[in-house]
Amino acid sequence: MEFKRAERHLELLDEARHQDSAPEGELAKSLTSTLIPDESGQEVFLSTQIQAQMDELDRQQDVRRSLTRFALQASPETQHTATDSAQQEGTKRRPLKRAKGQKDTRRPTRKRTATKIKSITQFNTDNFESEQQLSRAERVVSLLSGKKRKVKDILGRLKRQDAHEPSISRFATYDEREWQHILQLLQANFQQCPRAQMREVRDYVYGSGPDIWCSSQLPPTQQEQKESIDMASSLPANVPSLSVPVADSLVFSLSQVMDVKQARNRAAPSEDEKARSEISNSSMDLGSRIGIDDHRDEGISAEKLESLGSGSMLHADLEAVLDTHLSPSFDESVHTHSTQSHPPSVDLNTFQNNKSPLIPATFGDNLIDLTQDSFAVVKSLISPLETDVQVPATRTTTLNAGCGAERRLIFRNIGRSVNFKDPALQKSLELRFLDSDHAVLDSEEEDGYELLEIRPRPVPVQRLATASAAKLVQSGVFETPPAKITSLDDSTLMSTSAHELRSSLRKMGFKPKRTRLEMVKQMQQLSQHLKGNSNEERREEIYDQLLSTIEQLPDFFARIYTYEPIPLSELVRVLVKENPFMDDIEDVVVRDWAERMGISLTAAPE
Amino acid sequence: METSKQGHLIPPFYCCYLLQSIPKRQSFYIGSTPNPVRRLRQHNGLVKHGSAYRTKKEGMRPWEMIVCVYGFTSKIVALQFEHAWQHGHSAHFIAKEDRIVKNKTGGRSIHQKIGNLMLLLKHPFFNNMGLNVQFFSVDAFAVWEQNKYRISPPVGETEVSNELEVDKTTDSFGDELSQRNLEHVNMLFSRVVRELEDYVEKCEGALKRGVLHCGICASKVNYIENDTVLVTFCPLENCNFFSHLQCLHRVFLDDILHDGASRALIPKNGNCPSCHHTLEWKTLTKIALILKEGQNSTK
Repeated sequence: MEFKRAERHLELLDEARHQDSAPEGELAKSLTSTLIPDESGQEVFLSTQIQAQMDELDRQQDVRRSLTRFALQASPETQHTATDSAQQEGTKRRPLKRAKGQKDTRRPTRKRTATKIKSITQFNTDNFESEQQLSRAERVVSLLSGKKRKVKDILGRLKRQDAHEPSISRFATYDEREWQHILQLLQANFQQCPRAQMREVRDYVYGSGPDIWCSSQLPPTQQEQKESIDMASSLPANVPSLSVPVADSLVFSLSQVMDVKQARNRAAPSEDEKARSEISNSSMDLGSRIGIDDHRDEGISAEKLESLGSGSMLHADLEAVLDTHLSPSFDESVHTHSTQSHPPSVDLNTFQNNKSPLIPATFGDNLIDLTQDSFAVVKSLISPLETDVQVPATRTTTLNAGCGAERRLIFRNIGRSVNFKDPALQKSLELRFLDSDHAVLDSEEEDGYELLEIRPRPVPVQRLATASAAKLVQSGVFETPPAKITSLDDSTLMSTSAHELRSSLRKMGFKPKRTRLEMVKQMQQLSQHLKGNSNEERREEIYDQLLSTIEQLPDFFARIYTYEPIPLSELVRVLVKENPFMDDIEDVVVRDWAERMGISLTAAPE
Repeated sequence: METSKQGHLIPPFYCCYLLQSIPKRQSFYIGSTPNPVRRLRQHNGLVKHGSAYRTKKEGMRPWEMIVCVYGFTSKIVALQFEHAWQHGHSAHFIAKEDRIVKNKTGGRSIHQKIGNLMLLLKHPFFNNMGLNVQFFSVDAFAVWEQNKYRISPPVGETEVSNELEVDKTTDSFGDELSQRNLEHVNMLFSRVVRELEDYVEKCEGALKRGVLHCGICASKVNYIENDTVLVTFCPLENCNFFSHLQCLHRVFLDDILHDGASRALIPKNGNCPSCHHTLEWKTLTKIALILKEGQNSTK
C-alpha cells in the first residue's frame, strides 16, 4: 500500500515536471504547492502572479480605450501617444492601426446611426469606427443641440451646395485636351511658331516638372532665369534689341494667348511676320522703330512682340486693362514701350538720340521678380473646355509691387477724350499724360501722338487678371466673375448677375424689381436720373431730388416746417405723385431722409 | 397758403423724463408727459387717478425725476423719443455701431441710460429740434459729464443745465427729497409755460391793433377780420418785428444757404431781420400755430 502510494506520487511528480515546460494549463493551476515539490511550486506561483499582472494591465488598457472612445474621438496626437505607450508596454492589445484598417472596410450605414440611442457610452463604443468618420464638430453640434435631424439636414444642404460649387474647391492645371485646344489657338494665331516654342510656353507658364500643378506654383529654376539673362547679356550692345533669339525664348501669358478679341483683329501671318521683321531690323534706329504705321494689325503685332521683348506678363495685363477700358478710342493705338524707372527726360533722350541700347533697359526691367513674390492663383480664368474648373492663368502673374516700374504708351489721335478718370482704370493704374513738349516721338507725325505714362498700382494680382478675364467674358468664351457694379453703363449691367444687381439697387436705396431684365431696365433708368459714381453719391442725389420735390409743393412744405407729423405713407404718396421716379425708392430711405431733414413722421394718421 | 391740419399745435410743454427710485437707487423709469408735475405726483401715488402701474411696486416709491428732456414739437415725436430711449438696443435713431446696449436685458445702469440719451440727442432729427435737457440731480449730471462711453458731445446745440439743483448738500431722504424734487420740476414747468404765455399775450395784443404789415413782404395782415395766415413776432419785448411765418421761413433758409450750409427744409434758428436777435424757429412756429388756433376759436 505504501509502495503504491509512493509510486503514484512519483508519477505525479513526473507529470508535473513535464507540464512545467509546457504552457500553463488548468492542471498546472490546479496543482497546489502541497502536491508539488517546493522548487517547482515556487515557479508556478511566480507565473500565475505575472499572469495576474498581465490581466490587470489588459483590463487597464481596456478601460483606457473605452474612456478614449467616450471622450469624443481623441485627437490624433493622443491616439499616437496611446499607440506608442501600448507598444512600449508590450501588451497584447490590438494596435490602433488595425482598427483603422477595419474602419475602412466597414462602412457605417444611415440606418445604424439613425437608431435610437439609449446610452451614449454604449453607442460610442459600438459605433466607434463609423463615428470616427464624422468630424468632431458635427457630432458635438448634433449631440448638444439635440436636434439630430435638423443638424443633419443643414449639413446635408451644405454638402449639396459644395457639390454644386465645385469651382471653389476644384483647381487644376490644363490637361492634355485643353492644351491641345490652346495649341490650336496658338497655331491659328502664330502659325510660324514651332512646337518647341509651344512646349517652351507651357514649361514657362507652368513649369517643367512632372507634377504640373506643383511646378506651376514654384518660381522658375535658377537655370531658367540664368538662361534668359545669358541670352540677354550674350547679345552685343549694338545688336538689335528684339532679335530673333530673344523673341524665340519668350512666351505669351495665357491672358495674351486666350485673347479672342485680339485674335480676331490680329493680322494675317504674313503681316505678322512682316511686323516682326520690321521690329527686329529697325531696333537700332529707335526713331524709325517707333515710327507709326497706320495699319492697326501691324501695330498690334508689333505691340505684342514688344511685350514679349520686355519679358513681362505685366504687359499683357496692362494691355488687357487698357483695352477693356479704352477700346472705343483705341483705333489708333500703336506702340508701347517699357522702361524702368528712368526719369522721363532721360528716357525721352534715349528715345530721340538712339544712343542707349534698349536691351539693357528691357531686360533690366524686373517688372516681375519671380523670386521675390509668392504666386497667387488667378481664379478668374476658367478652363475653356471645362467651365467648372478654375485654371491658374500662369505662374508669373504676380506683380512685384515695389519695383517702381513704369510704362509709356503712345496713343495716336485719341486726344484726351478717353475717360482716364474711370475709377476702375484708376484703381489698377496710375495714368498721366506727359507734357506735349515731352512727347516728341516721331518727326513725321508728332502732332498725332500723345505720350501716356502708366504706373501699375500695387494692387492684388487678381484685379489685373480679372481685367483680362473681363475681356474674355466679353468675347463670350468664359463665365463672368462676380463683380461689384460701380458704373451704370449698359455693358456692365448686362454682364452682371441678378444677385449683384439686386444688392446694388438695395445699396442705392431702391426697391429691386423681380426679374433680372427688369432690374437691368431699372438700372438703366436710374442711370438717366443719377449721375454719381458711388452709391453714396447716388444716395445724396436722391436726397437732393426729394428735397427739391418738397420745395415745389408750398402747401405740403408748410405742413413740414410747422412740425406737423406726417404719415410716411402720405409723404411717399406725395413724392411719387410729383416724381414717379420716387416710386422705386425704399420707404426706409425716405424715412431716413425725412428724419435728417427734421420732418416729423408718424406711422398712421393722427 | 395754409393747409396745415386743423388743430395741429406744438404743445406748450412736452417732455421725456428719467425717474430714479429713492429707496432703490438701481431702479429707473423712462416716461413722457405734457405735464411733468402732475405725472410725477401720479408716480409717487399722490394723485389717486392716473396710470402709474410700473412705478407703484412696493418699495419703489417715492420716485425722483433726475433728468427731463423737453421741447418736443409734438406728442408723437416725444413718444418716439421715449420709445427709443427705452429701447436703446434696437432703436433706429441709434446707429448699430454706436449702440452701448446690445440686448434687451442690458442698459439698466444710470451710465447706460444717460449714454442712450446722449446718443439720441446726437441724431440729426432730435438735434435739429433744439431739445433742452434739464438735470435735477447732481449725481445724474456728474454721470453726464463723466461720459463713460466716450460719446462724442451730442449736444453742442442742446441746452443742458442743472441750475435748479439748488440744495446740493442736504442729506434729506425719502419724502423730503421727493418733495424737493417735485418743487424743482414745478419750477421748470412753470417757467417754460409762463414764458410762452407772456409771448402769446404780447402777440395777441399786437394783433388786436388791427392791420399789420409783414416785415418782409410788406403785405397787410388783419387778424381781426378774416385772415388766418400763420404770422409770427419777435419774442423780444423791445422788438416789434412781425411777418408771415412763410416769409420768415424763406429768409431763414436763404440765410442758411448764404452761410454755406447744406440745403434744409426746416431751419433751426435764424436772426430777427429787425433786431438780429437769434430766434428759435420752433418757438416762432409754436406761437404762430397758437395764434392761428386762437383766431379760429374766436371765429
